[in-house]
Amino acid sequence: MVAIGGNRLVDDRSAGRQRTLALVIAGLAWAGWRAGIGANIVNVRGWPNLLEFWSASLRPELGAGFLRLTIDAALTTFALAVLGTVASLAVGAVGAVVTSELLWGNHIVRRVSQFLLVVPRAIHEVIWALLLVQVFGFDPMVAVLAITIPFGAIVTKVYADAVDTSDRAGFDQLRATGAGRLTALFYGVLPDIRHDFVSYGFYRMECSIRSAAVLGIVGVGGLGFQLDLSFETLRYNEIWTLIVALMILSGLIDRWSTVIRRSSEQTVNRLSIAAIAFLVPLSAWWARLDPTVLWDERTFRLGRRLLGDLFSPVLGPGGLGELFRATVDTAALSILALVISAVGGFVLALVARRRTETLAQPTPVTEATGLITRIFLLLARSVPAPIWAFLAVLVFFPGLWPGAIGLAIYNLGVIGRLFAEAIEETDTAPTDQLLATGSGRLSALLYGSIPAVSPRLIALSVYRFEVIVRETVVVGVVGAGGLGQLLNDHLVARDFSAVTGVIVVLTVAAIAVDAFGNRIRHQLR
Amino acid sequence: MDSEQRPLVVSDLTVRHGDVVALNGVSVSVRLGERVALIGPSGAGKSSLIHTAAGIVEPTSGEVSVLGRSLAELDGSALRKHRQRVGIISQALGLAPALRVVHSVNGGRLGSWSTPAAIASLIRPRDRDQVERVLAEVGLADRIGARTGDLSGGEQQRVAVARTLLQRPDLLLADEPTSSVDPELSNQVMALLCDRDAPWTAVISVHDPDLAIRHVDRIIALNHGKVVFDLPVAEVDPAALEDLYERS
Repeated sequence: MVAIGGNRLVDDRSAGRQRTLALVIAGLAWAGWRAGIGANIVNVRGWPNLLEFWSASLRPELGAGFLRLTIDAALTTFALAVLGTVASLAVGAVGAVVTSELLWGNHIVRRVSQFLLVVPRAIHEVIWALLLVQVFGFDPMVAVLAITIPFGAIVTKVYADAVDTSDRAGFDQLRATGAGRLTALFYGVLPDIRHDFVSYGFYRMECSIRSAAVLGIVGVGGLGFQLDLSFETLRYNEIWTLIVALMILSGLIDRWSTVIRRSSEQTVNRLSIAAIAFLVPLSAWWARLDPTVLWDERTFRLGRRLLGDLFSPVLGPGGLGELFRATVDTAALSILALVISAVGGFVLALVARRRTETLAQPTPVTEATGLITRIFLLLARSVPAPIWAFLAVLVFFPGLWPGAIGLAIYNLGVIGRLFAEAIEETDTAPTDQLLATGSGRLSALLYGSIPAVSPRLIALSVYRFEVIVRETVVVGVVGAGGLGQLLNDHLVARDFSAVTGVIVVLTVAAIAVDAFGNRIRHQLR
Repeated sequence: MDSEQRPLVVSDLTVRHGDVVALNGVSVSVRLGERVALIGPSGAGKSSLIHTAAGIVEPTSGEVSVLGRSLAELDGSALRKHRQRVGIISQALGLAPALRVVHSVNGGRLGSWSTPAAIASLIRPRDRDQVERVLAEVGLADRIGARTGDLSGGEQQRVAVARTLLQRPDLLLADEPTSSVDPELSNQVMALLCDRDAPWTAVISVHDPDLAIRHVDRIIALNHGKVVFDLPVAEVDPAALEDLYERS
């Protein structure tokens, strides 16, 4: 019977999803066990410190001298982010054309270049910065390159996907009339996806701001650097001034990016591009970026020495066992951070979202709770993950939990906003229909908009998992365990061959997570 | 009370969408248990009347009383309780494509469920036998586990009908519930909605006047946002019908 065949198809697909769900739950249980669960993970004695930190939020440092320092640092972070973004978009645009399927067909060059791009993507900005500092010293070029190398590779992949999944009709027609592949690409494809390129570019800018802040902690200046200094001396009032500056910067860029993404008007795009073009030389001037360091004789000498030190990769003094334990810890850290931030992000997104339904108009209460939640999400993603991890150390004993909580709070801020926007952009007709027949607001949402948007929420979470695996390194550097801590230990010991060994493992992990992500994305279709 | 005997009373209703006048001074009164069809060409104002009665569209001016209450005077839980008594089948259907049919149909009962019960039902569907019964009535018993979005347009329309059958409202408002099903199924769907034994009063906009005449008690013809005639089926003049669709 037709019906039975149809049901079996449905059952097959849902069986695949149930397997994946079971895998995720088993992974979570294992990660919790690995990190340790129970009263012995909570450090009660650190709580007064935490209280002191939060109460300092009411009296941030507002002295003229410190405010000037904060503004200077904010402008530096902004300048480094602008330069890093523009450079990575330039790399990505060229890279996308060079590696696109349209240009090559399924040529071996394309497949090899796509594979090679995995390496720069797998390594976090902070690791690039730690390596580049060996060559450039504490030069602003370190921050710009540390952002450009991984982001350039990410943009290449995203842009190449956009080129290859675009409508081919224009391309084919131009090819049929004798145009070369490159010409056909420029005239037949790029004009159609220009808006996607620009709006993704501004999304990258959001990421760059937060990366530039983290990179400050490595020592290349800006708000992150000041934050680190104030943290070491436990000046909580100063920390809050810096945090508010980060929130303003991050909030403004996020808003700009959202406006561009939702607008179909050419003028918004053009004005934004013009603004960025104007900001690039200004940023280079402010950050004192000197491009000549790139071809300096000293750069070549130190670069050659670093490459020599990095190769060939070896195991650290702890051997294979240590590397294995660190890898397992990184996996546990990532799973805990993802699940906490995705579940928390979903709940907060429901509160934070702007009401779009016709039949559930916002009330003063929903407006107020929404605003407060949005500010909290902005706070969560504006403060770099290592800072949250530092704070988590006040509540938990050192180990996996502080790192997982630090990563989770930061990513909760990112995921919560992305989820809220995804829900806002979903068709409200099903929700309104249920509201019109007397359903409660939450029930109507769960039976209306949420089923429609859930594949996108899962896809965003899977993508976030890939990001979190890379980011575990950042909290590892503050002693939260895993491959990041191992990497930091080797760097401190200047054991560069062992550093390369860890980087190889990180790259393999990133490839594995990518493959897992592709599997889930496939199941969602 | 008189208002309870008149589940839908519309007086001098005007609805404007920007510059477009969708309804222009319409007055309609529907008696308890009546089955009424709204007919008229596209753009006559049928959907606007249904949507205003459902509280989805705000009137520009005039009065709308549904089950004895004016929607404007209700809010909070009173409004929710009121809405649970009104069933709506809109042309847009308002179905979530990603949801399984069993949950889509259960959507008709969400108003009477607590939020935890609604969440629990997403994991283990509640009252499955009742869902099966209404799906069987619309001929979709074998699609209970399918994704709503995988169904054809006509099947989705029948899911929306099944949802309202499960809701068992006091007033049923349907906007062209048979627009994407074939003639034979249209007849079945209309028969379900106009069933003598059903507990509701029904107001249904129908594109095909012949279909309306076979099932309802009274026909209200609209054109250019005004009532052209409002007559019991027996008194409807075929020439007037022809005229209605010719002049548009």
